[in-house]
Amino acid sequence: MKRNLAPMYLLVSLAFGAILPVFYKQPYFYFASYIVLQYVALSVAWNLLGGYGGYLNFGTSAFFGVGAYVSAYLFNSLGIPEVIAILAAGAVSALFGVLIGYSSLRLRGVYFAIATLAATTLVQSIVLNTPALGSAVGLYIRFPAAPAIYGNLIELLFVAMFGISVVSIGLSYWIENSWIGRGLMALRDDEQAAETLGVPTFRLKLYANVLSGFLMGVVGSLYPLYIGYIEPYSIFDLGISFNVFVMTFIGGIGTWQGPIIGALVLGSIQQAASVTVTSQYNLAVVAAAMLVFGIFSPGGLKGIFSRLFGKRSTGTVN
Amino acid sequence: MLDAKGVTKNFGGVRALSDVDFRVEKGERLGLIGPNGSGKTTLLSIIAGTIRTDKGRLAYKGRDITRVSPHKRAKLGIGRTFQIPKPLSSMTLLDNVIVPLVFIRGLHNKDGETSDVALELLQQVGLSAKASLRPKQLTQLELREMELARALAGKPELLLLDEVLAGLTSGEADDVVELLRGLNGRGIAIVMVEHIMRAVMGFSQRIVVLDFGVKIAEGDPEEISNDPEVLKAYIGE
Repeated sequence: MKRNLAPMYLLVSLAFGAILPVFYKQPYFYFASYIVLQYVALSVAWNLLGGYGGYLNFGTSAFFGVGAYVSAYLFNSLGIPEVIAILAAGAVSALFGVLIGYSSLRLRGVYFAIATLAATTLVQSIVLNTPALGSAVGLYIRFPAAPAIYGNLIELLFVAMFGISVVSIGLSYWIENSWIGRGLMALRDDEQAAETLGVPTFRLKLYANVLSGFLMGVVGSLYPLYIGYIEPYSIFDLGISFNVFVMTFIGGIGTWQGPIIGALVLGSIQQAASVTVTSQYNLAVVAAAMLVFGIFSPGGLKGIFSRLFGKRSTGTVN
Repeated sequence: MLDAKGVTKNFGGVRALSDVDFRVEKGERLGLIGPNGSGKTTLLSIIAGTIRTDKGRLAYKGRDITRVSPHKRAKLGIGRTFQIPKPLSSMTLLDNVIVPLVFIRGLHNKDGETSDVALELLQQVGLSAKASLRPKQLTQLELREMELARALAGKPELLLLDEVLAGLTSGEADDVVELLRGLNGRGIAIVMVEHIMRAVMGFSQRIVVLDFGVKIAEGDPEEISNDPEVLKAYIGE
């Protein structure tokens, strides 16, 4: 992809997503695709810090959940318009990223991963003990009306999630090819060397965490509208964090294409499995894929493609 | 140019450095020697900023840098190499050199110009033919040369070299020393931590000797090689 063509690809993709539901009517497609796209956007966001910077965040559901609860609360209890609620959700989630970043991005390797796990539990218990957020009972969401061009709310949500995914991918592509990406990859390889070479490591990690948190929050902010009811156990679910990690890993960690491929492939298999077999096997599919790829192809699907077509992948975790 | 006073560092119960005063003059060639474990690398890391001193102050060009982060010190003109090379393993050699060009010198990688500068630097250390290789395809010796090219990319005014000659044949070592003399001739102050006495004595204008984290001697190479304290530290009584 040439640099100057990137904005055009972005616009064409956005237009395609916006128009698709007008012509193609198949309710289940949009219902299932929404979840797949949600994982595309989450995985792309996760890859910013986890893939380029090598800091594994196992708290995706915390950022996602903060977004979901902020938008549900603003929309439901205060009657604030959705678009503003969505942006506010992203902002609060980004702020959460600043807090997590300041407190735990100085920790290295596995300690950061543990800190993000702890953060998930912390937010979950705060929500569980806040009556205004429905405590353990949860919150029901009043569905807004869908605009006339789309048949129903799910189609609209599909379009919105499609747009968020495309924008996330665009951001990720830009970061991978900018000084921010170069600095993150340098610190992933060797943090001390990177500092000595002038890379402001802490600042870059914080940028990545905040941007990643913002995107995850925006993704989460739509979920209450999709599902209609949220409660702390299904929202702050480690399964979401685990899914996102494995999808990115299987697609090809540290490349902008990897998380897209991984989320599309695994997300689709999961959606198909939940209809044809049972939804219980969702995580089993992911876990099995993780094992197979971990042993046979640490570079992920992107790595396999690159090897087949003779191009080296830019990212490795080691 | 660099003035460190009362540098002290404890690692748990081990005192790595105790109340060390250390000065480097502008454009100086300084040798830092001492037996294994005497605190040489720790002192370099404290000057570069990757380790913070427990006590004492560091000033660089009249500015207090005791609490300044390593990447800012790199921008101020302090460059270093690592005893055990620390390559950026997912990047090519060229990209390894481009990192400091982008982050210290503020060059952008949009145009080919930055690559040309990086290639020139690799050429200086004799690695231009391997620019597109990755670090794991290089020998230890080549990695150390890459470290040097990377440090030079930041246009340092003070260059800290941690055993850059280790493992080289005497012919190779002479080549590197020749390169360093050239750099010094352009006004770069060089602090050389080294075990090869012939090289460090020949290169340095002044020598500082550490033993068990204490500065035991300081002077020109002639004085140092006749200093009874130094002989005792190296050979024993």
